Amino acid sequence: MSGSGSIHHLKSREFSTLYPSALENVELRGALAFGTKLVSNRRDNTVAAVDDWQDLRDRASAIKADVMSNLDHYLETFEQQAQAVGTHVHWASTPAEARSIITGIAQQHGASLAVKSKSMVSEEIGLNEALEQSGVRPVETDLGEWIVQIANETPSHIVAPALHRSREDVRELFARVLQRPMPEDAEGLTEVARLELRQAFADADIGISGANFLVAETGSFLVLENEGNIRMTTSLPRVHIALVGIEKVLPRLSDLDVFLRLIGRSGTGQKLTSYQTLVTGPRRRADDDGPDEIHVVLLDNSRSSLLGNAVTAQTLGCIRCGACLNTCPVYRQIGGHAYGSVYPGPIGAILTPQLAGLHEASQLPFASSLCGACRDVCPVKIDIPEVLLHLRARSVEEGPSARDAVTNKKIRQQGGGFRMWSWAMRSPWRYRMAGRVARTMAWLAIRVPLVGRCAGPLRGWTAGRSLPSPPRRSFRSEMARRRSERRS
Amino acid sequence: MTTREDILARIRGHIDASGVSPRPTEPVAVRTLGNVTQDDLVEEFAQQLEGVAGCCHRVGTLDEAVTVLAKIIAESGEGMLARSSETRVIDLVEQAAGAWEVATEQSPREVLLDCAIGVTTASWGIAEHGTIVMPSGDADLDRERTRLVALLPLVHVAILRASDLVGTISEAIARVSSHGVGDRPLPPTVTFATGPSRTADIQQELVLGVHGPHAQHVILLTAE
Ligand code: SF4
Repeated sequence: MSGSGSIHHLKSREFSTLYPSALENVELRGALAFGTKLVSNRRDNTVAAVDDWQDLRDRASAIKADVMSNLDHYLETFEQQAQAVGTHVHWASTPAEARSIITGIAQQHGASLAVKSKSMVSEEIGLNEALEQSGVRPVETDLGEWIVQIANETPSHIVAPALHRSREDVRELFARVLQRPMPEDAEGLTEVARLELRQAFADADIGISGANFLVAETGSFLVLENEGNIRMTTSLPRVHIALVGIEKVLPRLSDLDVFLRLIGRSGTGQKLTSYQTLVTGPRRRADDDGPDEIHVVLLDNSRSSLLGNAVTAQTLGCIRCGACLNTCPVYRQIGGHAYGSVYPGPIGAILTPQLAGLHEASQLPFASSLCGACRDVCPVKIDIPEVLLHLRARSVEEGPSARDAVTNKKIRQQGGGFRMWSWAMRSPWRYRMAGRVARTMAWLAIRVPLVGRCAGPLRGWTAGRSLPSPPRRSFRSEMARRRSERRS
Repeated sequence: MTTREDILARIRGHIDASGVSPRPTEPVAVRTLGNVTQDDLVEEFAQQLEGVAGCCHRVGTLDEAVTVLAKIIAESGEGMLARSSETRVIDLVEQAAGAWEVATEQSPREVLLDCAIGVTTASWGIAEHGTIVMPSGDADLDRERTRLVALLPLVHVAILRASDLVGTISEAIARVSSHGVGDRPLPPTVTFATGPSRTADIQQELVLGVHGPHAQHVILLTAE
C-alpha cells in the first residue's frame, strides 16, 4: 500500500532534471564533499571507541520494533501521562489539520511572532507559510536553519540545513540581507546571527519545536541540540508547541540512555550533543520560569500506513541522525535539494515515497547504487537497501495497469531485473555487470514495442504510467562520465 | 469519529493485519561505570568537561570557591551578574562579586538578558560526559530557579558537590526518574548541559558560543 499523505513543496517527480544540474554545480559539490566527509570521519572515530556499539544498535532496533507493534498503546499512554501534567495533546491526520491546530493556538493567543527551533516535521507540513498567512511571523533560530530561511531556501540536510553553503556564501548572504559589511570568519558571522536572534527570543509570543523523543511512561518530550536555541525556544515564550510524528514515542524514560548514546555519535560524531532538554508539562508554580501552556501535536500524515509490514515499518524507527546522508555516495555527489523533498538522502529515498505516495517520488528508490553504506551506519539498523528494493518492486506493480498484456510482459522482465539486482548487490563487479545487462533489457522492453508508435492499449499505459524510464546510463556511470569530463 | 480515534484505528488496523504478535521489550538494568570511587568520578568528570571546552575547578573549601568565582568575574571585565536563590550561591556571590551589580532569578528577563555571568547550582553531574543536570520547577528537587539564570548570560558558573556525581547518563536518568514515581510527575524541565553552546553550521567550522552560554564553568566541591 502506498502512502497517501503529502509533503510540502514536494518536487521529487523532477528528480531526473534536478540531479544532473546538481552534478554540474561545482561549488555545491565542493561544499558537499567537504562537509559530508568531515562529519562521516568524525562519526567513524567516535563510534570506534564504543565497545558495545553493535549491542546498542540491537537494543535500539528492538525498542523501535516494540514501539511499532504497540504504537496505539504507547501513544495512548503518552497522551494520558502528558495530560496529567497539564500538556495539551492534539492529533492530526494530515498536514492541513496540523497547520490549522497550530495557527489556531497562535490566533487564540493573539500571537504575532513565533520563534522556531529546527523541526523537519514543520518543513514537511509547510508550517512557516501557514503561520505567515495567519499573521504570525516565524523566525527560525537554529543557525543553519536561519541561514536557509533568510536565503529563501529549504534545508539540504536533516541535521546541517546549510551544508550546501560555503562560508563565503553565508557572508555574502548576511551582507545582502542585513545591508551592512560582514566579518570574514565563522565566529564573527555566528555572533551576527546570535545578536539578530536575541531580540526575537525576547519578543516571541510562541515557541515552536519538534521533538526527538516522546516518553510514554512520563508524558515528556526530549529535544537535543548544540546551540542553545531550543533551550531558549522552550523557556522564554509563554506558549510552547511541539510538533511531532507519531512514531517518535518511546516506552520508558530509561530507554533514552540507549538512544542518547547512539544519536550524537551517529549524527555529528559527538559523544553527546551539548544540550538535552526534557520537558514534562508547563510550569507548575507562579514563581517558576518556563511556558504557561504546552501543546504537543501528534502528526500521522500516512505514517500509520507503514505499520504491520516488517520491511516498511523499519522506516519509522529513524531517529533522523543524518548518518546515512553523510555516508551515501549519491548524496555526497548531488546534495539534498536534488531529491526534491524535505527528506533527502537514503532515508529520504524511502520515506518520501512512503509518505507522499510512490507516484510522487517513483524515481527516488532507484537513485541508489545499493552499496549498503547507509545500512551499516544506521544506529537503529534500518535496512535501507531492503526497503529500496521493496519500493522498486512495488513501483513496478503499482505503475502500469494490470489488464495490459504487453505491460505485464514488461513487468516480468523488470521483475527478473530485480532478482538480478539482489544477486548483484553482493559484490561491486557483479553489480556493475548486472546493472548494464538490466538496463539494456529494460530499455529494450520499453523501446521495442514503441517502434510501432504506441499501438492501442499501450498508448494508454505510456501516457499515464508512473514507472520511470530506466536511464540509458546508470546513475553510477553517469557520475563517472561527468567526473572524467571535468578532469580532461 | 474524531481524528484521534481515526489515527488509533488506522494504527490498529495495520498492526492487526500483519498478524505479528507484539514483542514488548523489558527495561534493562541501570548502566554504571563499574567499581569506581568518588575520586575516579571527579577525575573523569573534569577530563570530559575539559574535552568539550568547559572548565572544571576542583575546590576543597568554600573559601577556595570564592577565590575561583572572583577570578572568573575579574576575567569578565565589568558588568552585571545574575544569581539563583540557593543559599550557598547567594553566599558565594556576595563574597566574590566585588563591584559587580547583582541581579537575581526574580529580575525581569530584560535584565537577565543583559547579564554577563549567571551563577546557579547543578543537582547532579555525569562523569562519563562532563554533563551537569539541572531540574527546574520541582519543589523537592531544585532549591532555586536555574532555567534562565543558567541560560541567558554569556558565562554560566555551576556549583556542584562531588557527592552528586554519577557515572553514566543512565544513572542520572534513574535519579531523575525516582522523582517521578507514582502520582508525582517529573519536574517541568530537566536540562542536561555539556560544555558551552556550539555550532558548526557555517562550513562545518566549530564555533563555541551561540545562543546558550559561551563559557561553562563548574566549581566542583570535592569535600562534599
Ligand atoms: S535512517 Fe538511520 S542513519 Fe539515516 S537518518 Fe535515520 S536513523 Fe540516521
